[in-house]
This record gives sequence, C-alpha cells and structure tokens, in this order.
Amino acid sequence: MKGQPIQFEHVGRLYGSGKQTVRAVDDVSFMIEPGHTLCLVGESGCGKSTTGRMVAGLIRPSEGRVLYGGQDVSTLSKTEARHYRRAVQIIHQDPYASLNPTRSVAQILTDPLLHHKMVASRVALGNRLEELLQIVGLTPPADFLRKYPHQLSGGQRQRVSVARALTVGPEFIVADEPVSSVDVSLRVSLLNMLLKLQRDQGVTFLFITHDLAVAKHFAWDGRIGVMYLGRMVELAPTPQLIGDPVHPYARALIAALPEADPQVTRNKERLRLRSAEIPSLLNLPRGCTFHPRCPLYEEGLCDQERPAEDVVDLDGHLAACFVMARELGQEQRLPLALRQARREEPAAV
Amino acid sequence: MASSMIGRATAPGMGKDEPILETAAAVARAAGDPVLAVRDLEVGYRAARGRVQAVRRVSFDLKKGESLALIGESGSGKTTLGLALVRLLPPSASVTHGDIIFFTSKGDEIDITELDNDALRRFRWSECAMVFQSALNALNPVMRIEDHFRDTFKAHKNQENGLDERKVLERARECLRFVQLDPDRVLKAFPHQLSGGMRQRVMIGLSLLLRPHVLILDEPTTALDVLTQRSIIEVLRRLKHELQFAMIFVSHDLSLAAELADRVATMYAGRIVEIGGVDEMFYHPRHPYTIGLLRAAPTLIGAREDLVSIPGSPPDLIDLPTGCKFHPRCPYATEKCSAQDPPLIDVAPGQAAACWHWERVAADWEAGKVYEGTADTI
Repeated sequence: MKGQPIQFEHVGRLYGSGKQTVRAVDDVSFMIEPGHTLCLVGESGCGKSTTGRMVAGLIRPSEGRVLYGGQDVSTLSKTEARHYRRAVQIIHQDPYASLNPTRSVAQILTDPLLHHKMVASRVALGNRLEELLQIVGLTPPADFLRKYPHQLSGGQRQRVSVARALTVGPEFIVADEPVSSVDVSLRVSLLNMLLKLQRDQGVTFLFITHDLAVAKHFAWDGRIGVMYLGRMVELAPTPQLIGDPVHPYARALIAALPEADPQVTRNKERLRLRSAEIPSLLNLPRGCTFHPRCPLYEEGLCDQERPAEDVVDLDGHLAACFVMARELGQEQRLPLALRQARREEPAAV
Repeated sequence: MASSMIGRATAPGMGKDEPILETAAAVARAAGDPVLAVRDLEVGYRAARGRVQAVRRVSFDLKKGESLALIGESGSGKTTLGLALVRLLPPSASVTHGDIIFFTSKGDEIDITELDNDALRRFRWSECAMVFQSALNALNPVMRIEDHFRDTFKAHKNQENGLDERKVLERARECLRFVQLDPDRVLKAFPHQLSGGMRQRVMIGLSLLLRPHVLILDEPTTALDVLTQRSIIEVLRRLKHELQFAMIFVSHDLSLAAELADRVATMYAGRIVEIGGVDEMFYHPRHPYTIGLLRAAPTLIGAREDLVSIPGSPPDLIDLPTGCKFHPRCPYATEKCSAQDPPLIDVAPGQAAACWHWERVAADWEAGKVYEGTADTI
C-alpha cells in the first residue's frame, strides 16, 4: 500500500484560555514518508499524545499546518477529509477504555466496515472479520468473534483495537502507547505483530511511547523524536539517537534508564542534572526550556532565544541545542545575535 | 482482620496438589543474619468461581542489608506476597499455611501470622514498613504531609523507638531531607500540590519515620517518568548503602531488579520458580520462565536484538494446570512436567530453580541456543 506523506509545519497546539493557556505543542515540524516509522518519546506532559491526536485529525492545530500529501488538512474537501480520516487510524493506550464494553468483538469490527462500505455482502463481511482476526493473531477467529471485551485479556483487547484500526485499510497508524498496559511477555508479541503489519502491508507508523527501549525495538529502521515540554528537542535515525545522542535532555534520558543487565546498568555513566524539577507549562523558562536543568547551560546563550528544532543538523540528525551546535562546529547555524555574543567574549579576555 | 482468617492451618497440602517438598538450601539459609524468614507460605483469595491460589508454598530468607527483588507478571502473586508479609491482605484473602518470622532489632523472633492487633500495630512501621504502588492513592488528599507523619507516629509508636510527640516533626524533617525533599516546602503541602515523584519520595520518607529495618516496596517506580524514576532509584540506593536497610521490592520491571537487587526471585503462578544472586539470575538463569522474561525485555545499549515473547498467556489462578504451572507455555515441557510440580532444587551455590529439566535448560542457555519452536521473532 502506497500512501501519502504526512508533514507538520511549525505546528502548535494551545489548551485553555487567557492566563491559563498552555502550549502543549510548540512549533513542531517533521515529515513522515509512507512506509516509514517515527517514534515520539518523552515524559508525561511533553506533548507527544497531543501531536499524535493532531496527526490522526482528532484535534486541530492552533498554529502551523498539518499537510497530507502536500495539502493542508484543514482545507480538504468533504470527500478528501473522509478519505483522510479513513487513511489515518489511531490505536489508543487503554483498550479497556477504547472498546465499548457492551459490544462483541464481531460488532466492534463490523460497524466501521459497514459505515465505510468496505464490504459488499454478508459473506464478504464474514471473510473480512476472519482475516482481520488472523492478522492480529487472535486465532482461531471463531473463538473470539462472540466475545465481549471483558472476556479478553489486556493483550487480546489491544489486538482487537488494532484489528478495528485495520478494518478500513489504513495507510497510516498512530499508535499511542499501545503496549504500556500489557505484560512483558505479551508486549513483545504485540510489538512484533505491529512490525509485521508494517513489513507485509507497508503501513506507516507514528508510534508514541515513554519507553525508549520499546522505541528502539520498534523504530530501529525508522526515526525517534524526543519531545520536552511541547518541543521537539532531537530527531534522528534510531541507531544514531540511541548510540550517539546530541541534545543533553536526550542524553540524560538515555543515561537515566536502568537496563535489564546488572553489569551494564552498574557501569552506565549518569548525567547529573542541575535540577530535578520539571517547569510548569504555565510558566516556561525563557530561551531553551531545558536550561534550568541542563548540565551544559551557559548564561547569555541558553536563556535568550528558543533554539530551533534544527540548530544542529548532522545529515538529518537534528537537535535543538545552541551549545552543542557550537561544539559540533555548526556555529554558523546559531542566530546572529548569539553568534556575536560568543565571538566578543574571547576578545574581551 | 478477623482472627479466623489468619488462623494457620498446620495440615500440609491445602492446595489441590500434593505438597511440594522444597529441598533447596539456597532458598532458605542465605549466609548472614536473617531479618525475615518465610516458610511454606500459602495465601488464597475467595472468589465467586472458587479459590484463587495467589501464593503457593513460598519460602525465602532475607538477610540484613540485603535487597531482594520479586519479579513476575501481573497475577504472579508478587503483590499478594508483599501484602502478606505485613499482614495487610484484603478481607477476602487468608494465609492458609506457613510462617512469616521477623527477627527484630533486639533479637526477638516474631511470627507475624500469630500477632494480635496491638502487637501488629507496634510491629508495622517500627520493624517493617511498606511503600505502596500508587503514592497518590496511599496519601490522604485532605491531609497535609506533616499530619501524615503525625498520624503515622500516633498509630504505630511504641516505647522503644525513643520518639516523643514533640520530636516527630524534627524526625519528619530528617526523613524528608534524606529523600531529597525540602521539608519547608513539603511539610505544609497537600498531596495534590506535589508531583508524582515527590509524592513517591514522601511515601518513602514516611516509611523511615519509626526507623524500621525492613522495607517492602510495591512497584516503587512504576508510572513515574524516566528522570523521576532515576531519582527514586538513587534514594533507594542510599537507603541500602547508608542505612543498611533490608528491602523487598516487587516489580515487573527487570531493569529495576538489575539495578537495585542483590538477589532476585522469579514468581510464576504464586510460586517462586527461581531464586538466586542478581548476576546468576541475569547471566545464568536456569528456569525457562526467567529466560522467557529476559528474552522479552528490550535493552537500550547496543544494536537491536531479537525479542522473543513467551507463548500463551498466564494461567487461571483458580483452575491451575496440573504439574508444573508453566508447562503449557514451556518449550522444554515433557509428560513429567504435566504430572508433577517440580520442587525448588539447588542448581548452583546460592541459586535454586524449580524445573525438572534445568540441566538441559542450562546447557542450551550457555550454548546460546533459543528454542526455535517458540521464537516469535521478526
């Protein structure tokens, strides 16, 4: 299945009003090519789910544009919008909450098939239901069709959510923490099932997780974007981001994560943050929002302007950090004022 | 808790199965002074469909200053075991067999399954404290943090810990500083004014109030963000190294065990199926379930390795499979496994596993062989 690329152009999303306004997503840009994977990681409140919901068209951006196949999603005609909503599906975190408890698996899957007129006959419907359950590994299908969500385990429920997303033959799936509520042993088979989906059907994924290790496993051939307080602070191909992170926040996350290997985890180098407190979205620090916690903080450089998402650009490995841009020989990418400020300093000494 | 429910049954074999004879020395006598000894513990819940056998024949020792991780998936009985140790089981649960013996700081032995309510109240918090899974639910939302400290003191004080009413707040400040919180800010605050990580640290600080020497932590870092999780890990590390706490922490997270535990016990369907030193458990596991958990855990360092899931799903605790409870999901299972539940036997110094085929498992693991039949790789 060949789909359309989805692109974010300086997208922002505000919640609340007046003094109580928070910018949950702030000037985020990225592009996801058909068949590829982008994984968003970050701590709670970093805006990753809001970004996912904007991709899925569940909420509209307050600033910037979301482009689908090069066209602004908000200007799509009625038919085009219908097509977009069908092409992009979302799998929610909690399958308890996202499946209607009073409807059987068969009903849950039949509704969207009929609504979008995906099947022509009763026989075709039956076949399609079986096929969907086969794909998500709920076999034999006949055992599951009449079951209700409460009769299924967490992992099975999540598989039903995936099957529901697949009913309409999506080209793009937004998976918001799809394995967080599932036990370790079942988590892997769910992840592998989603990977197989991508391999066999070329589905594009925006995968949202707080777990870097899961992100690494799922998006090894794709990219990971690290978000912090609504901003994308680093975006890079997975092996580079895990192996050679640039942004101090990404480095702190990777260093802080305990590993399931006693020797590795004992010998891991930790990164000391200057503060453990996460600033409130209502009262964000000036300049780089990570600066009050950042071990690389430099007065006059970090607390002035907000670093653009691509201040550091090493062949598509992007990071929003002025200090690292300078360290990595990309000073010319700094805003003019900051560049001069730096240049004057050694002269004065 | 009504006394009838905690009355000990002395007759062996309360479960459906024949009693399992544990022969493993490793389970029990870990070298050093024990602070806690659990012997043949069985806990069950009453449910509409029948009896849930949540903990079955669990025995282990915990020595001074040691941290033991109980790992396993949901429904493996690890939380129930933790609750049973401080006798906080819900009314529908009861200890049907076994002993839980604490060795107090003064050298007494108390079997907590036999304590009356008064003695139990004195025992909790001053000998052994528990930190619960969700710090938000464990703190009273309409009480300031300082009142939590006062209440805990009033409820659990005894003559011996040398603390009087006036000194409580002083001690509370000490505890909060130890968990890296600013007492001036935190003491007057209500729980909702603190972040998740701060609340979890308050819980840990509160548990230190009456200077217990055993701490039981149920999923101490679950649902916390990575950097917050790290700060909790550092606090627990200090507790262990500076105050020589003995800790039992219950977790589904192998990486937390790798980070904090001296010994690790894997639980499956209510039993400890393998127990041993942390390095042995991670580098030389001998039970197929421990191996299954290790193979399913993604790591961050290095290239991507294939993750392998454990086939099937956890057993129904009301209607357990016969024999070894893991056999329906186990690649090594034979007829013997479906007929007889294996006892925990010594497989190496300080390590025990409950598997009939542990020698084959060991040979395969050391040779780097994975059972192809179960590999769900991509």
